[in-house]
Amino acid sequence: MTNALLSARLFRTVCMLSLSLFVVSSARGNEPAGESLTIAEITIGPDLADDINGAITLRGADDRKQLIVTAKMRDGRNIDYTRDVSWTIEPPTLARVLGDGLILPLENGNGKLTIRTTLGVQAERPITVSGMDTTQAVNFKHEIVPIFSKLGCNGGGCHGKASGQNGFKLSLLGFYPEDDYEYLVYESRSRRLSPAAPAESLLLTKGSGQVPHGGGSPLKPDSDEYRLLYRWIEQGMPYGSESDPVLTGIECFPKQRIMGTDVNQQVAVIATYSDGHTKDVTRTALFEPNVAEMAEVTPTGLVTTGQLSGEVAVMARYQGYVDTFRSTIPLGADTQSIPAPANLIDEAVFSKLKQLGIPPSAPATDETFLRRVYIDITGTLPTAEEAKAFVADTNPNKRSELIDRLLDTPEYADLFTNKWSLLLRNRKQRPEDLYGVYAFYQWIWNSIYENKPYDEMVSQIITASGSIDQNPPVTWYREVTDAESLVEDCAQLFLGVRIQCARCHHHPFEEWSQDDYYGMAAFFSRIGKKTQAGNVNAKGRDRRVFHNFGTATAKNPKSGEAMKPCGLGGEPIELAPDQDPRVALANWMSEPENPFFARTLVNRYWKHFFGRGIVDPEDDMRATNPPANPELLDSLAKSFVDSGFDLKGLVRLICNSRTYQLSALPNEYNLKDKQNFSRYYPKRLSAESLYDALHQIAGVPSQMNGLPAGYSALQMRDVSTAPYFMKVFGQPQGETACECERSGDASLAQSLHLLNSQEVQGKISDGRGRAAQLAKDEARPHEDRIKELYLWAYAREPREEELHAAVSYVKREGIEAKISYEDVIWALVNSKEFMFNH
Amino acid sequence: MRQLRWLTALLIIFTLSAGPLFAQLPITQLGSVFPPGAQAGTETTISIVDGTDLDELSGVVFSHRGITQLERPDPTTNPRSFKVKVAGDVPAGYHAIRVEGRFGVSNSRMFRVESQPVVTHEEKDWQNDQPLALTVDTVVYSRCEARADIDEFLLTVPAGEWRELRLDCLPLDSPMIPVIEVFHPNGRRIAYARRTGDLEPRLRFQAAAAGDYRIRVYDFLYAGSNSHSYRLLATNKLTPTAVQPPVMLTEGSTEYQGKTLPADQPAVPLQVTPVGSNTQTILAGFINPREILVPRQTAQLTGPGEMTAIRSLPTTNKPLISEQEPNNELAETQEISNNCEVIGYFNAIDDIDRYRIPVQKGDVLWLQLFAQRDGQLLDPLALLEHVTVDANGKETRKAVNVPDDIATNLVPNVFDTLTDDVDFNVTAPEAGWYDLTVRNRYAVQDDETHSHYRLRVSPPEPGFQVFAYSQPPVAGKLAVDTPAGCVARRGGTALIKLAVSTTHGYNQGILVEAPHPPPGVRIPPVLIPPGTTTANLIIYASADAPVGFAELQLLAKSVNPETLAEIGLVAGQSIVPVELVAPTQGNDPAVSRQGHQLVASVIEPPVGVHYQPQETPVVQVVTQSQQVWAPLSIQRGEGFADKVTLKAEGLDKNAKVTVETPEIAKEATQSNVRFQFKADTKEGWHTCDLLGEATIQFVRNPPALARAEAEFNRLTELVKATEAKVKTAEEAAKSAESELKTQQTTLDQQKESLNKTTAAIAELKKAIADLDQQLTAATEEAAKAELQESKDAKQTELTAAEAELKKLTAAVQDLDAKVKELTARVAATKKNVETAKAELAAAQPKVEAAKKNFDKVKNEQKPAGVKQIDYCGRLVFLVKKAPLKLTTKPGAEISLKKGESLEVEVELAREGDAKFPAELTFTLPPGLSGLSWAPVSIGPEDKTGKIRLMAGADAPSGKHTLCTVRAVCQQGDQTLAVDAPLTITIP
Repeated sequence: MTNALLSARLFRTVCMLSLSLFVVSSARGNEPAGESLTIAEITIGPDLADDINGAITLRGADDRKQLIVTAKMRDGRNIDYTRDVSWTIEPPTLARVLGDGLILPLENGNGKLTIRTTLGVQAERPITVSGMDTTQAVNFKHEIVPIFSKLGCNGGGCHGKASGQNGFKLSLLGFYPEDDYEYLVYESRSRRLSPAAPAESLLLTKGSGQVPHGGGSPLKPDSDEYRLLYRWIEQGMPYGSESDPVLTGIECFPKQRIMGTDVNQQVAVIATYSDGHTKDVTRTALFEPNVAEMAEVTPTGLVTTGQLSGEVAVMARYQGYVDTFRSTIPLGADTQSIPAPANLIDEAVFSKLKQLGIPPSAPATDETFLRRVYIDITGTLPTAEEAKAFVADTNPNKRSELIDRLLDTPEYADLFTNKWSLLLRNRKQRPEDLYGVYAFYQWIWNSIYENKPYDEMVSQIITASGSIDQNPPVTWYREVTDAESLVEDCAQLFLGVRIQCARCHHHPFEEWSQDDYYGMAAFFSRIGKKTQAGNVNAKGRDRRVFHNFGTATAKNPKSGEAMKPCGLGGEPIELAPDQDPRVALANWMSEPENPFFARTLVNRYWKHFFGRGIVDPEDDMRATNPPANPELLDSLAKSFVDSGFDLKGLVRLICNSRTYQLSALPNEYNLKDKQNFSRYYPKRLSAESLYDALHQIAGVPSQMNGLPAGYSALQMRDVSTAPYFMKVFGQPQGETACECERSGDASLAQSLHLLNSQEVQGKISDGRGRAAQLAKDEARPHEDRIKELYLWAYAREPREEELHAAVSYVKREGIEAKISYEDVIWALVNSKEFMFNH
Repeated sequence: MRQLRWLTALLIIFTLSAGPLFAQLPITQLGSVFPPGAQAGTETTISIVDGTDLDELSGVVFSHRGITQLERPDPTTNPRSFKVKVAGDVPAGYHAIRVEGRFGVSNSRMFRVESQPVVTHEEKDWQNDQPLALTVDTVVYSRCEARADIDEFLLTVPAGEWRELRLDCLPLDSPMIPVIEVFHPNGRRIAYARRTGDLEPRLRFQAAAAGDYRIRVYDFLYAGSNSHSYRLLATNKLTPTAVQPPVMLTEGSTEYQGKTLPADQPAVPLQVTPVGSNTQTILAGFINPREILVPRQTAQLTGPGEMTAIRSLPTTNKPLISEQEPNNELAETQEISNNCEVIGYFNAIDDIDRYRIPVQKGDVLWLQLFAQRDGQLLDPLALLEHVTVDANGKETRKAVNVPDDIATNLVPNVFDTLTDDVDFNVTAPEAGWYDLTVRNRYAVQDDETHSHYRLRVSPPEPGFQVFAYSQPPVAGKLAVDTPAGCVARRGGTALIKLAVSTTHGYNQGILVEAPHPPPGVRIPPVLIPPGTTTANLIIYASADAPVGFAELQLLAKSVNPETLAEIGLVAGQSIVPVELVAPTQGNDPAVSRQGHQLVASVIEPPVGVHYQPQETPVVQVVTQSQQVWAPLSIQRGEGFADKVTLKAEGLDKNAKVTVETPEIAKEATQSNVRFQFKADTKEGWHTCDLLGEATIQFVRNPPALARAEAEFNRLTELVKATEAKVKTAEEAAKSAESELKTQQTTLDQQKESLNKTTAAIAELKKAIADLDQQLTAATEEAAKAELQESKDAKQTELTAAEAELKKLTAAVQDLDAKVKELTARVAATKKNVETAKAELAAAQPKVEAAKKNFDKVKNEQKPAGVKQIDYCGRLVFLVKKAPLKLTTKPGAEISLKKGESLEVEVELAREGDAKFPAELTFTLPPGLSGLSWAPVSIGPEDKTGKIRLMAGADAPSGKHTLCTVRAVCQQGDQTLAVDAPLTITIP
């Protein structure tokens, strides 16, 4: 059963189980004071697929279920009442409920569970207990291994690391239970377990701290875990049989909730097995929130929100499966002022803002928009003339037309080529690499400039064949040489999945196993390489790439199984020996329903324009790192696919949205908003843009190593020769496929470089530069000249006090005008308004 | 101790940085010329842009006799530009240009003759960085002179019209990697192209709007130099992107068509006319080593609308067939004969072309796929299955392994011939057919221009083609891949490298000879034995060979390698010249291409060692265990009295042949290279080249030194003469002044006397007048008489005074004239002094400059130790299995007293049951005398024999190694010798 199906069933059942209400007059705990009168219905969940006739069904002495009481308020909100009700079981000998809602069986039979709020609202649900008179064999894989995960025994910092810990090794996070069984039961002459005297087993005495244990005593002797382990040892350490059902998924209950600040929500985790039966694994699942400032979660699954509004996801992990509980914490402010959406972006963003009660900032001014869109689309600053003309322009479509115009400029291609070239690791490692670097750069540039559809562009890279000279994307295969790197780069770059972990073990935070990893690797298993024709560059790294006919497989080193090509989460693909599996991969990626490809790209571009991905980091998309706005991500991705993977179209869509055109200045409600795009999040100019901007305002042409005078930093092909300035400001070196290689962090070195460096000073004081020109331009009043400077720097005219201060400064007696203008430029360059796109 | 380490480190650094100890002998190397082309029927000036050892260039040499030099400037002025005329009938295309200088005729560079007008632009023409106007059908020659140089042009195009831009660098031997971009008048870039493989950029665009289209030309890596030249042509006559069929028939005829853009346009008919001749090669561009492997023809394409272009097309003598699509599926397989050529196309990335070739049992098929060799950027992949059908109709398919590539690389990194093409043969085991599948290994789809291949199926046709290029001796900065001319110094040698490409298992010998060597030059024929792909052809210039140059005509013949008899298996053919364009750089191999001709030049000495061709046979048949001596003699040039070391190269390291190359000692003229073939030496062909190496004292340009000295001496003498002239002039001036002074004094005195006399006359006249008044007034006669007497006296005085005055007046006049003349003389002499002094002043710096130049030239022309390296001999051995084993019974050492004799008994172990006679003899190392013997015959069945060795009284004492006992026997028509080593000690 898929998670989606399971979710639907849970929801349906909960609705059916709503009971009549009793009105009472007080409230406490999670119950909002004074609101008890507004409870519309209260329910006991979850209801599972294998619950008999809607009864809470407990099978066997070890069965536990986390019950969750939900009150549906008249205003539509759902509130967790699990800890705010009293529990009554009839007959009392049937089962027992702990205060946190955990129910334990006591004897076989049927009965009834009644809950009652302190104000008297109550609900009932039948209970069925069975299997108490039979001893059920403990399943090592499904019951014992999760205990190790829950207690942290098989974590990477403990026995789960590659070399184990103090002579005892477990597979990382229990992904290889067969190995764990071997280690535990047979290793070291079986000294860790004693079936004859289970309590004397080293596993229990160490785990409970009865004998010295470096890891402390995570296993409490009175805990369920201890008892289960004891019983397992007592039973002679059964492993379970091959016919035992296998885990097929987990699901959180509830899936999501709108919560207030400082409130609780109990979450239950239900595992589903291949035979359809379910099991509550809340106590053995691991929980973690994605934004720690917004919510905390206890080991038993109790989520407590903090003071921040927004959305937080709590991931639950169990046996390699992951699901999330999403909590929306509205601010509750008036959102009447939210403008009408301009396009699908606004629809998704504004809808979310309404839901959260966060009013967005006001629209950005023309000046701000102009500078922002210039930097975001071309990486450059608008000229003073452009800034002036744009503000003066009364054309209502001027913003949209500007976006179109910018998309047609070579600077647009420069900016995005710079981005892709580095992500594709197009870098020079040896002098003879230069040709390939230039060729690949130019190929990317041409693709961007001519707006090649993204799927086509990626396909041409992945399926690159021939020589670097003839087909420059082959350069990618020069830098990304082995199958592992290809899988990992491809997954991270084009699918937004960091699958590196699954090379050696199951991904700890994701569903990806080594089978998935090597299924992807199989796509790259038939890559042949030949030296260049005619022995050219035989000693160099350039090789010609081709499809080496044969069956595409990649061996899973753990299982030894030859994996067929298989896209992540997809089905294995049958290919004839003369079919290039890379083509199949490209086809799979660009399928409209591919869950990764389009989402990754739109998310990557979103990050480019907004400074924060809908999923962030943008190349780490996983269930445990959910999107801030899933509807936004989905609709953007769909739109991108529908457009034929039109990159310029995507940029056009983003930049024309009201969301993008919001001011960066927060209002009284959205200052703390960091993920819902209620305002534009200012971001520091990239190293290249900042360097170019410095040259623009200083009025001197840049001179990049090996390029003609005037070529900008964004046009650099070979980043290894970039000036120190760019390294200080975090220019990536194309060593990885990760966007994170570009650093936007601030540092003292950056400040010092802008303030004091010879390089910056030299450019500002250049005799051909703007300061010199303005100083010479005595025909114009200083006011005009200062205004021009501000237009260059900020795309706006100075405010009165700024103008007054600047003019007073340059008019000082006895100081050469050029020096004064240099000082003003220097001051502007060192301002945050200059360094940031806002 | 620490200091010692530092010193050691410094010493190591110094040693490493000191560079080669010896330079190489200079040899003219041409880097580039500009402009590298001109219009037919015009005159132009060619500048020599760069090169090495370009001393005293006397002119430029072209491969076509219609391009001539108009003026011959004095070489000693080191001219760097030459005016040339291109005759109107010189065909358009690429010709060769070389320079001739003190150090011979250089390597060649491409020189393009144009049928269109030509303009030349240099960087200074781009004033204020404004684009230059580009005119349709006018060829522009320009260059990216400096790093990051971008040249911009403007091309005015009416709306809707097509233009084609052609940018060429590689065919001009330019190192530039060309890129061209076209920008719409609205600023948007609309077209981009760069070189791919060896294919130069071609851009076609249709003007969406009328206006000035900006064109940018630059180097892909933004490199630049004066050698980064390019040719740019804008035209509206669209040349075909593809010629169909892309091959020229040597037999029969076919109709040609050209595909042009836009793609949906119908093909246009083309007239294809061969260009050039056997004696006058004209190239269509850069033909790389892989392409030269295929016979080619330069052709002129003429199409509608005055469209012309030159192309290099491969040639074939097979009937042509077109690939018939669809043939991707087995059921669509196209059946072809086993003697045809198919023109196929990869129409899509995954296009599969299937062919079926029926065969009979034992049929041998030679299957070739031409793609890279035809200039295509393809890697054709052939999959072959042999298919038989049994009596029941059951089909059996058996895969045949097809070698992927042609793995023979004739001269790695110099003349790289590895290709991705396919060339193999297969013998049909049974009657049936072969199913051949052809695909492109690289899933890259180019336009139709670059996606065709040729499949040739034929019976075996053994053949060969020999390629040749000149290689300077490897020393100093000269390497095996240095582009340089073929230059021999009088008495020295030059080397032509030969590389052989054989087809279909050609296994005979190839004899290469120069039927018409230049005067004073000997070029011994060289045998390229079976299985050998390279050889050296040595050019020996006699010590009195005339200085000059000539084109070398080399012929290759198919011969029986043992007898050298011509077998006519393959018709004799000219050797294809190869030109090295650029040496290896980093990991990039050298660039080489088809050349126009081989040119050899002979230049003046000095060389220290004169080599003469050795009188050894072209082929020596030897046996395992045999010892062979190869004598080598030299003549010594004037002043050379140093040793000559010898080297042997080219022998297979695993051949088990020992070579000893004793040096030629100081002042000696001879040595003998010893080859010892071991008992297990690999049978078959072995080749060995001998090199002589000597350090000579070399003066780069003695005449330049003499000229500098003469000039210095001349100017020194001139200064001396001028100094004397000054002195003389000064003396003359002094003398004139002195005389003037004297005369002036005299004149003054005379003038004073004159004045006095004049005054006296006046007084006398006054006295006489007074006396006349007194006489008139006197009444008394006495008084009158007295007065009259007085008056008469006065009158007499007056008469005398007047006479004196006259005299004085004449004297003064005379003196005055003299003074004037003297004054003029003084001025003239003073001027003479000044003139002479000026001459002196002018001459003095000249002499100083001449002195400086002389010192500089002296310094430059100091004799310097230079390596003279020459190939001086080539030996080809055919090693045969020894027919017997020869053993000396007393052992390998004997002792023999002077005047005595000794019988040496030997044992002969013949192979198997063989019975044949033999003759016993001895061999002695060169120079050993005093020993004699009479040869002894051994019967066919005799297993032992004795031969007596006598030592004469003059036999030298000592232990003489390297002697042998030799058994000579006849095997078929060959006489074979088997040696047993022997050391003879003479007390």
